[in-house]
Amino acid sequence: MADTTTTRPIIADMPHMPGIDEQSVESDRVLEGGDREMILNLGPQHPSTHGVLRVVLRLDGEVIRACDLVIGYLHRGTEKLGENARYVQFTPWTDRTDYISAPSNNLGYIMAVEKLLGITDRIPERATYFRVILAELTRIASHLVGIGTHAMDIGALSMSLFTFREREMILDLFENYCGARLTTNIMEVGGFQRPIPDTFWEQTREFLRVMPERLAEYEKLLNANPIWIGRTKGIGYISREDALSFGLTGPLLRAAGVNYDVRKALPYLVYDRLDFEIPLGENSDTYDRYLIRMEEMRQSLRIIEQCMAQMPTDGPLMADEPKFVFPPHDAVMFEAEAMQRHFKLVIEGFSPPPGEVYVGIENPKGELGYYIVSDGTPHAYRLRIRPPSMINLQIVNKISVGTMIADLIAILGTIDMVLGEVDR
Amino acid sequence: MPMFDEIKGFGVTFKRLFRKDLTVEYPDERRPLEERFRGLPVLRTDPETQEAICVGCSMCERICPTQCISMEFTPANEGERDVVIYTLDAGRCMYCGLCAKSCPVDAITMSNAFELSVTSRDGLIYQKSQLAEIGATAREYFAQ
Repeated sequence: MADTTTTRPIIADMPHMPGIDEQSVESDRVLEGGDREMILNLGPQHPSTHGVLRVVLRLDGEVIRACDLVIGYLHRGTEKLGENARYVQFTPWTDRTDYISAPSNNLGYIMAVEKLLGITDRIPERATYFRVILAELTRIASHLVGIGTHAMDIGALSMSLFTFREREMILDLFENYCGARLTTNIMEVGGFQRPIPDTFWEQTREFLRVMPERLAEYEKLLNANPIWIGRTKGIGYISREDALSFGLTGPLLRAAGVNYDVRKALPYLVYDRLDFEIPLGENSDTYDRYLIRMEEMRQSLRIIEQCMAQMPTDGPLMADEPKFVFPPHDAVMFEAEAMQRHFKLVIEGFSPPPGEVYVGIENPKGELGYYIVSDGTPHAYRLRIRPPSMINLQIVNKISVGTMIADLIAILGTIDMVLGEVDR
Repeated sequence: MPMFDEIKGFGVTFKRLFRKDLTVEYPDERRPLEERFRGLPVLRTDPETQEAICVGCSMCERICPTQCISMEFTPANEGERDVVIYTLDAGRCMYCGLCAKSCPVDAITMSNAFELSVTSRDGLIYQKSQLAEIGATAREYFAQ
């Protein structure tokens, strides 16, 4: 008899896996009628897992009996890096958690640091509006990738080509302001150091003009498509109770009918001054979550339009907080104080007062939280990221039982996780 | 008409046939880079005197989150420093632009160089002369 531990060593190393018990590892369990259950590894290299997620499935024919997620293939110790880097140095690392929506991640971290420093109220209004614009552009970009890859996984390849076309416009906007497209490092403590070029506003207006008709195009492609409806309607149902007890946030929670959006529940920046709606779902299935993402993009366009109208045209972009904020670049060469400040901030960084803060913002995927404990040194004592993707992903174990393998692909798509954030 | 809704999608695809291509035939044709594009960090030289601008204050070395910059210098006349060795490990660099932001004299800047593939890892380590060569035409990081 063949030694099963050598044929399936990786599973045998994980006897604690909840869905897959030891018995099923030793030999495929025999079902009624003589059929055998089968263990199947989906991933970590499977394209539909959007990264390096490994899903271990126990199958009866094509029906999933148990499912277990194995994560950690992309673990880089981001939280630990945050404890070893000075506050300014850590911002580029936050790009690399949820790499589809880097500016939103920057924003969460920067807001947490500003709260720790106690300068949240000192940020100029112009910078605050600009932050909202960038965050909402990020939301659109992230939902475009989410819907595009989701549709591609279940057969609508052209959808991903259409959505990536519009995402390109947003990436061009990021490149225009900060020079990078994906890992932006766009936010700074205190506001923004570089002025906003006029071309940025031109391109944004162009984007706002083009986008509504493109959204209508997507809806024409998918909303009434019989294959899309067949693959998404009624698939991946999450009950309201489950959504709450699993701690889901973002479109998944709102599709279950729970009206929770950090932008409305605990308004930050200028969201309390803006007029926008939070779309809610009724059926809590994959199709509903797709509709919610589409509607959220429309609301984001509205927010950007309002921000552009309300934003002061003149005024500083950087807070006047000499102790924590880099001086204007021109002053560094010519003013002694500015140069001393600059050198001190680069060499030592700033030391926030001891204490702890938690800041949660509405990332495209859900509530993104940054928890920082400071011990009064230039490094964080503890930095913890609440990743919406990871917490949303945990529901897959429950909702995939009893479905087909092909439905699991749709479920993973609708969760819209980014493995960089799941594993951090 | 429910039947009409179902075939609307084909209309979108069909219309697309008659529009202009969006794809770019990359090596032959390049999309224009934005003015603030962040490529490989390079060292600038003074356009008038053709001398290196770097004064060896090592600010970039200190702020780099990945420690990809390393430099050695010797004391020169009147408290100045001569930068003897300046290396940039592009294999570690994450193009965040903090070095260019921290430079008080605009010596280091983010260039437009992004085609950096090499066949060995040693090729990713740039010496001072190589960085100066690429940086000869680079604009200031904070230039508008």
